[in-house]
Amino acid sequence: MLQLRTFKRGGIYPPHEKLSADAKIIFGEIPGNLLIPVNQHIGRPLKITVKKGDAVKRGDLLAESTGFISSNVHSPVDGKVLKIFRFPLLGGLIREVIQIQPTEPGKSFKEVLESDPYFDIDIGSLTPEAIRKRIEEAGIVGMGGAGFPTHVKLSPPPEKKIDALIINGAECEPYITADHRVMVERSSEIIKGIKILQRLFENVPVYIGIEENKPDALKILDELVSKDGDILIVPLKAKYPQGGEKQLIKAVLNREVPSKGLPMDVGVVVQNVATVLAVYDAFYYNRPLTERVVTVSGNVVNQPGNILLPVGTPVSYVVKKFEIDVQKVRLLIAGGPMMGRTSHSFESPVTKTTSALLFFDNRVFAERRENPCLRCGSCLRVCPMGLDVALYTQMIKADKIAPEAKDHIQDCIECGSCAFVCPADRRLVQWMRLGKTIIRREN
Amino acid sequence: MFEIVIPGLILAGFALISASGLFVASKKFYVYEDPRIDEVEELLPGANCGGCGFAGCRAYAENAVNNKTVDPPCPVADAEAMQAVARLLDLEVEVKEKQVATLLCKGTHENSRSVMEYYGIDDCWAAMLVANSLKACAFSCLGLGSCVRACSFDAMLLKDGIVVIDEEKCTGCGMCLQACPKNLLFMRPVSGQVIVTCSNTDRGADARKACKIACIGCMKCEKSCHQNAIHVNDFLASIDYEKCTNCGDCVAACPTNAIEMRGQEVYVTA
Repeated sequence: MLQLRTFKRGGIYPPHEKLSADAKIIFGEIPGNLLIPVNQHIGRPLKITVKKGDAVKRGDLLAESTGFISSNVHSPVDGKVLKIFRFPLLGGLIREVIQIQPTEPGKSFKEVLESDPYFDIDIGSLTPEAIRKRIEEAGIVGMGGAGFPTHVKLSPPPEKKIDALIINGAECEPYITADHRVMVERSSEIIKGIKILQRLFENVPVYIGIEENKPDALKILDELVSKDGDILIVPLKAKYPQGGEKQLIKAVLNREVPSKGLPMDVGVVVQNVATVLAVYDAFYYNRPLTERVVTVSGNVVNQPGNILLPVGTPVSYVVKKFEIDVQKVRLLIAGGPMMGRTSHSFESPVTKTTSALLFFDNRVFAERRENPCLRCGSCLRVCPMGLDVALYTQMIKADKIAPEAKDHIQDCIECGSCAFVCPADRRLVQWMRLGKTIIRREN
Repeated sequence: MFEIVIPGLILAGFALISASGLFVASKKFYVYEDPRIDEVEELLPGANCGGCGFAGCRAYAENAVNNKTVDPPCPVADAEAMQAVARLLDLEVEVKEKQVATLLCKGTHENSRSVMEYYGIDDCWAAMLVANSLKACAFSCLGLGSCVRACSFDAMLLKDGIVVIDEEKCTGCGMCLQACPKNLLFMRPVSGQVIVTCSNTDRGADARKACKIACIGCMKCEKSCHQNAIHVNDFLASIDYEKCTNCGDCVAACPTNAIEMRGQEVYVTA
């Protein structure tokens, strides 16, 4: 095997804990009640197009985009709009949600998916504009966690020449296996999805970056693309944050994204495997992005697994489906343990960007008190962006951010490596995020 | 005898040379500064709070004298001091009533139950990154004290999960208004004793579920008011202090005690 590629600067080695790596993706039933958040992306807020009492069909538009950097939201099921109100989402922020009462609660979601008609389209006949338009209509956003509208990423300005497409299958966060299972079970669909994206950039070479701790995914995809010259599987070292966009580009192509820059500045577009699958669904099944694979794991879950859930499913449905003892749960994290958000409500809904729901019976880490900085320098050594986190947090705390530090603070990718190694349990990520808001407020 | 006279003369000579040097310098490099700047600065409170928008009291005084203006008036100084400043500069100043910061929330731990445990940084802006509110009410005071730290006059403190303001110490500089991420603080004239202590714009039932004393937008206060001074918008009452006569009819009419009457004496903190 080739030598495993990785990024050079910083990084940590948290335990993998991929408990659900061998659990097949299961399908649930339509829950009795769906809460669909209006804004599930980064960008302009949406305009709601339905009102209380409206009947909606699967795939109907619920809220439409109001600008270029914006992304539509559709209904995953047939049903009726019960109410539009404000509700805490996973992570605690209170935002507008559309409550939908499905007409057929309890119906297997697999049946719903199978009833979608299949279109055998000829990719060669599609123009790049048509592809971008379809992706925009389908409301596809980056499903790795940030939720940036995909069509924006796929529309670089003409002066930025794209010469590589990287598919992100690194999945470096502990516990999460959603992308891993998608790569194993729906590998041929992913390749078809990649072919669609490849059309946009004059058949650029495609690299699929996968961490070495997923040998089955590596093997399956390697066999599939062996006859294909321009798709390359890149095995990566299992190191956190390997799945960070900038780190992945460094590992695969050895290119450095400049400070405050975007991947397109170095001629690269990065897409998550789940996003690629959503693109495939949007073309071959005419499905908007209304469901996603979610990993359910954590030490309270007896049988960790992966489940395909419609967007808007409340966590309480998952709790029931996986027979989780609610009394034991003391910590619920939406997303991975490194970058995910802790949550306080079991009624909060799954969104397009929820890759995992983790249930734990302790929160030792959170409950530890924040202590003064020891100046040990651990955070400096592990920061993948090479930032002097200890110094910047002191500046932010004193509300005196040096002008030259502002760009660096905005470069933080909030991966949490620094907080992971900090012996003083400082809330370094929150400090950096606070710094970003202070800088935004000043501008 | 002679030995002591010589060093004495040398020293005296040095003193003379230095003194004449200083004299020349003081004449040659003299910068005229309006003596009134010092006088104005004397009259100002000297808190350097920055409430007026200038870097401090000295900067305000310089601007006042050089540009002959007392606009904006110092928010901290009382009417007497401002009039004295205006007299000094031959200006007229409108006497404004003292303003005090007021918290539009009574979401104490007792009134609005806490729905989550927060282990992050003790700062309202930092908490807003994680959750809109730590209590059931999405509009409630976070109770982490960003405004308390912004106050230069020691007029605020945290109690039962909300901020209480000592209206005697509060000078109305307004620095706390910018420190609040939820815009829960506002300035009211100190004579206005009736306060709607709620900011919840949710519909009545939802608001009531979130907090015991929430304004539910029932309009009873609006009907009870003879001066047309209280209005309900977005399920939330607000008072027009120019019209309010402190009669207290709305306080009696409010079914949730969201409207409160403050006594003439400042309500006790701590």
